[in-house]
Amino acid sequence: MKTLDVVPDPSVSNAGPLIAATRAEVTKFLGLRSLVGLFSAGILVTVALGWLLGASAKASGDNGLDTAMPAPLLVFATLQFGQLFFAAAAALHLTGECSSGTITSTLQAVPRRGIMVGSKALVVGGLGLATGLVLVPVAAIPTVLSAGQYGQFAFEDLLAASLGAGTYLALLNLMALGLGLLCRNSSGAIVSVIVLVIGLPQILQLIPLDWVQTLIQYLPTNAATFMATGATEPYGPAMAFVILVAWSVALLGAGTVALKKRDA
Amino acid sequence: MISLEALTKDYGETRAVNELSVDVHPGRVTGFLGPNGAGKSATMRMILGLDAPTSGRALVNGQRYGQLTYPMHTVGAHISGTAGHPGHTPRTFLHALARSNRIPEQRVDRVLEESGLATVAAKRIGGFSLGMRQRLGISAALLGDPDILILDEPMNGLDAQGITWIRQLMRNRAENGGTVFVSSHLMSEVQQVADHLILIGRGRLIADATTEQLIRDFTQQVITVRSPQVHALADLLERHHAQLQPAENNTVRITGLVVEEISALALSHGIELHELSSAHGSLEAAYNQLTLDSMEFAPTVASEELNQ
Repeated sequence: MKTLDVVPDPSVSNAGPLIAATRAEVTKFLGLRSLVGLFSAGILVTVALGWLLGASAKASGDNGLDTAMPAPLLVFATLQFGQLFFAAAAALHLTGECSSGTITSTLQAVPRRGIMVGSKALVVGGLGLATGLVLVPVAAIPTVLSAGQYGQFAFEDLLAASLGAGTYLALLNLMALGLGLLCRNSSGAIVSVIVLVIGLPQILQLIPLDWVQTLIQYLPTNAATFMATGATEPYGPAMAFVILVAWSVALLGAGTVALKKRDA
Repeated sequence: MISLEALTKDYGETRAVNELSVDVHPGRVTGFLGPNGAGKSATMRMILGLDAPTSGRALVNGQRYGQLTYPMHTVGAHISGTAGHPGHTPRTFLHALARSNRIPEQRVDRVLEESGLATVAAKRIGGFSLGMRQRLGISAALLGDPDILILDEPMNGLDAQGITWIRQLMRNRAENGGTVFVSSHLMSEVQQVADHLILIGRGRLIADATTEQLIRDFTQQVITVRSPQVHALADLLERHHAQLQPAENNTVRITGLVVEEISALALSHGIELHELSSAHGSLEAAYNQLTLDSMEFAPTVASEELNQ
């Protein structure tokens, strides 16, 4: 089948349409209670889990177990769970339009597929970045309060965890958008997101092959941990960032190609 | 102006649209008719760049739809049953569309008023009836005040008031020089409003003519004759290949001959006539006949017959 032959007119800049389409996507995202609700739930869950982990660290510490961990990193650890809310919202931002048929209106308004995907990517990526950057310092407050001396942290820890969370949530949302474009169906997209961030690391762990165990280190969730904790083994934060970018480019790229090839 | 050039679309093994070449001109309402599955929606989706043609192309004002930077200023379209996310309100839906195409925000209130949705502008679309969703889709099509209006089955689910509104709207836009292309599977829906009709069956063009011309060319004349010698007349007409349908009171209905021929035959055989009248069949009857042909025979046969 021939691909949609959407050749941009070289005399027209893509920046104007991209900005206009992005404003439209912001309007649509904020206009949906379900998406705003998912984001809010993710934020609440992260703050609450941070406090809980802090309290647990304190209890263990008081009992003589060495569980001290900088509070921002405790918050980052809770994103293992909270990330699902943000990524689900990112996928639903697209698949909700597919199931209601209104993707037709979106593509009529923004017929160039690259610009359409770009505008959605800017919105879900931007929201992920802002959420990570703000959420870690905010959630670190109740966490350090409940953890007491076991949650003490330096400014560098806070910076690394916040930047790590922002970057990771932005890129994860792009992966989720890519999976949404590939599945074009809400349940399929959400299941794929869960498989990617929770299922794969656990299932692969059961396979006692060296190369599979090495592969696990390169999954998005592990790369994110290495990025935020400033690890040196098996690779450092810079490499972790590259791996996460590669994941999002691959998934979002595959989704965009699928959108261009398939009929809407 | 919409131009289709040998537009063809295959869905797997099925050819939904088959080398369709036709122009839709400004300044008039063009009805796009065909039975369910004739390829109307597929054609409209290709015009809008939603589906890719297998071969051929569809152009709006000489350009592919995808080449338009802010398309809603040029083409307003509504594909039935696709307007809006159930969780959005009409205002959010229309605001987002307006922003995507740099349409002034006042247009949102304007089209909400025009489509009768102003009172439900803040309600969620999920609770809307089919008719309200149609109104919403049509209002979205009008948002950019486009030259070209493409409406896929816009009357579906609309009440009588809604149908009057959409008919007036189409007429107004055509009279102001706009191109209006409206699909329907019911002749009666478009016959009153369309100046021009494009008929398709099985993805192929069956007819492309003014509504008036279609009535003239494609409807059979039904002639009613009453005669005391009706049996002799019937035998005579059958020998001249007329199709007869006997009725009561010495009356017979005839197709296949014109009034002049019947009159001449009766006179030359000394048959007395008490009534000789003719009536046009309705366009709907003609349309049913055309689409029936295109389903019964290979589409080539139907179109060749009509091209004679």
